[in-house]
Amino acid sequence: MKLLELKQSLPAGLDYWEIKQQENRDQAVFFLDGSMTNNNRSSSSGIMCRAYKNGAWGLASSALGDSASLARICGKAASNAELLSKHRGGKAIHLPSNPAQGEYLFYTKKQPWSFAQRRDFVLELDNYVKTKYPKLSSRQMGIRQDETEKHIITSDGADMHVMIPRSFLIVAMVDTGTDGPVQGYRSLGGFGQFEDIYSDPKEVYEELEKLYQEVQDMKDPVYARAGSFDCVLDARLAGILSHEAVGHTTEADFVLNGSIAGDFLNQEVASPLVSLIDVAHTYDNTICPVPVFIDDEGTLAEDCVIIDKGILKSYMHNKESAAMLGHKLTGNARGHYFSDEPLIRMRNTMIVPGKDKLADMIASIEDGYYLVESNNGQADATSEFMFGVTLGYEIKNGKLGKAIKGTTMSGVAFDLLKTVTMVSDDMYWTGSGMCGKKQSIQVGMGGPAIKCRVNLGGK
Amino acid sequence: MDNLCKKLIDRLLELGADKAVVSYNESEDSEYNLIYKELNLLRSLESKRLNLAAYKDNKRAIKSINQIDEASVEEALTELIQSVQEGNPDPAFDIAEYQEPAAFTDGPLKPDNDQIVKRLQEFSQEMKSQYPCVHFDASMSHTHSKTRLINSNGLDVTMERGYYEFSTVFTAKKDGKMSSMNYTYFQTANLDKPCLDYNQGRELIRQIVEQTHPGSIPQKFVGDVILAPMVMGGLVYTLIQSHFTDGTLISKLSLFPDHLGQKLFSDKLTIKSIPRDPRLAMKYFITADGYLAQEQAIIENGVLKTYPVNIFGANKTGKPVAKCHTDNLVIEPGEKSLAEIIAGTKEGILCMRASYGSPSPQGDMSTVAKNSYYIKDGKIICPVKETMISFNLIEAMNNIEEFSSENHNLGEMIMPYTRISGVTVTGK
Repeated sequence: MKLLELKQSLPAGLDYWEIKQQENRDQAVFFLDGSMTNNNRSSSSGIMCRAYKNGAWGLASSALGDSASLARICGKAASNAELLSKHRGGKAIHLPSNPAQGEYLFYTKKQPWSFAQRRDFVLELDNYVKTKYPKLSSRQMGIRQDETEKHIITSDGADMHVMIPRSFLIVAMVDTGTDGPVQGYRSLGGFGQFEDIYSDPKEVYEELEKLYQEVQDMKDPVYARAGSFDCVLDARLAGILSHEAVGHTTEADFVLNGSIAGDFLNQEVASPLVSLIDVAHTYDNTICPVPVFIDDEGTLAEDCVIIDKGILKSYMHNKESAAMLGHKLTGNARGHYFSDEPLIRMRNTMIVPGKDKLADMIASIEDGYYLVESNNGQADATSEFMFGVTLGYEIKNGKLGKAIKGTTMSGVAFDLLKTVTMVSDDMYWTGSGMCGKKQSIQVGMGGPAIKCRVNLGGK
Repeated sequence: MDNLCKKLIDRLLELGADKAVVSYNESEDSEYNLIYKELNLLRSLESKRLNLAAYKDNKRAIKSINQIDEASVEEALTELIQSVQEGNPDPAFDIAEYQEPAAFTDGPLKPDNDQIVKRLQEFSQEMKSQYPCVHFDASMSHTHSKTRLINSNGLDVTMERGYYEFSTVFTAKKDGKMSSMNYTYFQTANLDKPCLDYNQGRELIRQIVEQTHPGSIPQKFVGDVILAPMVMGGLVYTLIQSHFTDGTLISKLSLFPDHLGQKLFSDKLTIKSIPRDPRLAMKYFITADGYLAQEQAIIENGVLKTYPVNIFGANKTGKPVAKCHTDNLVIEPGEKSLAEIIAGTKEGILCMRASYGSPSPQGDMSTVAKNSYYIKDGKIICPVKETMISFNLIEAMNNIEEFSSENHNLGEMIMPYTRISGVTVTGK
């Protein structure tokens, strides 16, 4: 399809418009105890036009790809903006512009694997787990791949075509502990097509062994004590801390809706040991889990340094929020499906590694916890956050103790970050995250291990 | 739609499938958004979805597309057949048997756009004039969808429905202090009354203002928690998903894998799935397998009455196929008002929103009590901050003291306030 031809369908007099053609492709193949439970493929494609006039947005989308439908969609978007602008009381604002052009297509350069090759890869791993860990009461093994391909043009001259793939190997192990079933779960992989990440099942054995050992640890857990404790958050938890605890509060739409971060710009919100960045696409010369080179408003995507050595420096923006706050565009406007309007979304939010060693951090705690894995989290405009902790250990006199039962960790981010006294020198990216702010969308998050003061639920 | 599904069933059988299921959905959405307190965005969406499932030699593959031109459909069929041939067999895969064809229509099939704008503007004006310190976004949409589901056993069901949906997120800032965010939503078949008249909406907005100034509570105590209807609905859904549905049973995570007819919870607890409850705007007519949906008690007086499992889950576990989902959950109201329940609470928390992760397989969980209140000697003392409630979900469902006479109808569930004893509260 030639998107440029579609702009002929738009009426004159619009303040801004964008046209997006997008396809999302997904594949999931899962085995449960050796039986294939999922053999699913899905695709969703279509076109979306969004128009801006006199302070109001109109959007229309359709899966239909014929020329007449596409022209109708563009006209509908414009008429929606016109209609809404008549009802609206707010004033129009001039949208800022930093358009970019580019093509970023991350198709594998290797010979693509057939369905049968992928199936056999998973089955071989499943057989390995079955043989190596025969006492497990249940095991699940599968692959999941998603690909997002989009082509966007905008009235201010942006033109981008991207294809971003993510591929994951997902493993779950269930065993029986003293209180009943316990489960360990791991999602391995991230940016790239499956062939770019895996070549030999043996590459996964080490991670499988780690997961199995964690499940064994969880078989005889103790309750965490409810209260406030010195804790080490493993690097596997740092990502969700950066995303939930800080990231959401510094999305500019949150700020415009009263987020507490709006009161703290250029103020100290964290220990000087803490720097936090929403990386657009590349960190330390490596492409991040969810690279964004140009956002869905055609804006050049640039790193957004949110906290620099403890000082809150900036928010993440789309065109409208940048205009309202008079800030620089950052390139954070993203929509997940073709029909989605771009919202302010994080890309790859990370805490910058420090200089400490994880072992020293654990050794420094007399009575506390080492929290390792989380299954979900939620944010608040106050920066109060919570996330579920599915794997953690007691720390007694500087040494790891027993595993703890699942619990919830919470705190006020801008208080908690001031208690950070050590930051490890390692870095762990989580690439399988989906953030659910109106639309579910892929996000990357990462960081090092952190020592801080944390509220825990428990007995 | 009339011929597409039947043709595709025939085509899949021609291509070698033993059995096939095809569903096709068309939908239209009109969504009006208030952003930063003003009408900001109007979305008009046209969607299509074609789901194809092929079964061959006890193998199953599924393909879902939204392009229905001849070439796209043919490509999907070819890929699906190849995929099912290369799949792995499991005798548990099967499709629903023949039922009499059925057609259902429900709700407003066309949007009243003027009324949507009126209700949103009315909401915005009241919020801005009565609660100037409250920040809010809101949206109201109308959805019209038509679905047909056919399988190779002759099952043929058509469903057409329309409904409105409202949601709002809000927070307050006053005297330099701010509240947590809160939200509410509902689905409805009509727009006869203002949005704030639903489910104590106005009370939630009043509360958010006073929540800017929380008080101090004891650092730790064991007491009661009164769960708001939306919180109770979430916990009940979590309980069912954690112990009674396909995935948890097959993967042996359920603590109650073979407990049909056994008393597991308080005899006060009855949870039904009521697919076509006339009070609910979001009715469902068939299960995912295509069976005509029926009202079923999942828990009745504390006794497990139904495992809500599909055909695959039923065949894997030896249980009967459920004729209901885990949607449209209903707990009927109790005798006492919320005010009376609060008056009867010695010490506890009125939990208006809960922020929590999945419970452990044993049911242990902790939740942050958001937008919540401390109760002492029968009176609400103050809003709370940074307060955690810890309990075991299964024990909690055995420690139900009472349900309120008020209930909230969210359009997809109906729940009362619920008082539960024996929870650990940790304040700051």
